[in-house]
Amino acid sequence: MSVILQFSIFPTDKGASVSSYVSKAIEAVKSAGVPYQLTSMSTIIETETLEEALAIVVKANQAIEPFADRIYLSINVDLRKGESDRMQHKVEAIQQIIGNVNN
Amino acid sequence: MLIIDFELMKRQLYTLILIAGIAATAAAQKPSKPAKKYVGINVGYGIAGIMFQPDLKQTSYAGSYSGGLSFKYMAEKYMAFQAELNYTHRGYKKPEIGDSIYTRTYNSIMLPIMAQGNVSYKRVSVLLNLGAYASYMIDSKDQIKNKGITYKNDYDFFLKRDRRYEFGVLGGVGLGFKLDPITIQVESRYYYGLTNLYNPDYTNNRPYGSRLYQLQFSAAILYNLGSSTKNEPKLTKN
Repeated sequence: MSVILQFSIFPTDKGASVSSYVSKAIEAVKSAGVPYQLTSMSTIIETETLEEALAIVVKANQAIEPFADRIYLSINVDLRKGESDRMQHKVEAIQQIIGNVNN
Repeated sequence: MLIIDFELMKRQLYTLILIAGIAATAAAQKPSKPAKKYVGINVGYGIAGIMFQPDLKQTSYAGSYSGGLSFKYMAEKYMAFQAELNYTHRGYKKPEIGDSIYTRTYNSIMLPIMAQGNVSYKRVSVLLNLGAYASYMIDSKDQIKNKGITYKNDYDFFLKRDRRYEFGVLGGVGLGFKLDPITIQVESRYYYGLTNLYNPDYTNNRPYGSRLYQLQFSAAILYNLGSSTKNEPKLTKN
C-alpha cells in the first residue's frame, strides 16, 4: 500500500516567525528515512502503512512540544493499495499532460 | 545517500596504528626482569563534551562516569602496557531555541589501550599513559529542559546521521601505590575523539565536526597475578 500524508505543524504561541520550530519537526521527518517533500505550506511524506506515517507525525509533534504551549496540526491522507512511489508518480502524471511544472 | 570520508578515516586509522604500534613496541621489549601481570577493576568520574565545528555554544556534561576491568602487563622497569574494558556514560549540552537546554547522553562500551611510563620510588609510582581507544555506543537518551519542565526521550539512532562506533587517542597522568599483591592507581585521563558523532554529509556540514572529549578522574585496584617467567638460577661461587 502507498500512504501519502500531507501535514502542517507549527506552534501558535511563538509570534510571526516559526521557522526555527518547524525546522525541529522537519529534522524529525528527515531522520525517519522515508521519502518526503517540504513545501512552503506543508510537508508531504510517503510510507507503506498509515501507522508508519502517523508515527512520523507524532515524532514531529514531539520535536516541537518542548518549546510550545500550543501547537497547530493539520493532516490530509491519501491511501492506495498496490502502488508505490506515488509522491513522484502523481506529479509525473500531470507533467505528461502539461509538461514540466514547478519551474 | 551515505557518503564515507575515506581519506579522513585513513588518516585517523594511521594515527591509531602509530599509537598502537608505539604501545605494542613498548610492551614487547625484551624483559629485563620477569613480567608481572595485573588484573583489577576501575571506576571513574569526570566531565565530557563534544567539539562542534563551527561552535554551537555547546557546554560540557558534568555527570560522566565509567567503570570496568583493567589489565596490566609490566615487563620493563619503566614501561607497562595497560588495557581496559569499560562501560562509559558521557554526554554534552547545547542551548536550544529560547532558554531551552538540550542534553544528550550516551552509554558506550570502551576499550582503551595504553603504553604506561612508570617511575617508582619505594612503594609509590608516577604514571604516564598514552594510548588509543575504540568504543561502541550501546544506547543514548536526550532531553530538552524548557521553563523548568524536562522532556526526556530515548534517542532514535538513524544510520545516515548517527555514528555509534568511535575511536580516538588518550593521555593522562597518575600515581600508583604498591601494597603487594595489590596496587592502587589514581589517574586523570583525557580522551580526544577522532571521529564525528554526527555524519557531516547528513547535517550538510552544519556542523562539519562533532568529535567527543572526556576528562576522567579514576581509581583502579589491581591484583598482581605474579610473574610470567621463571626465576633464573643465581650464579653462586663454588
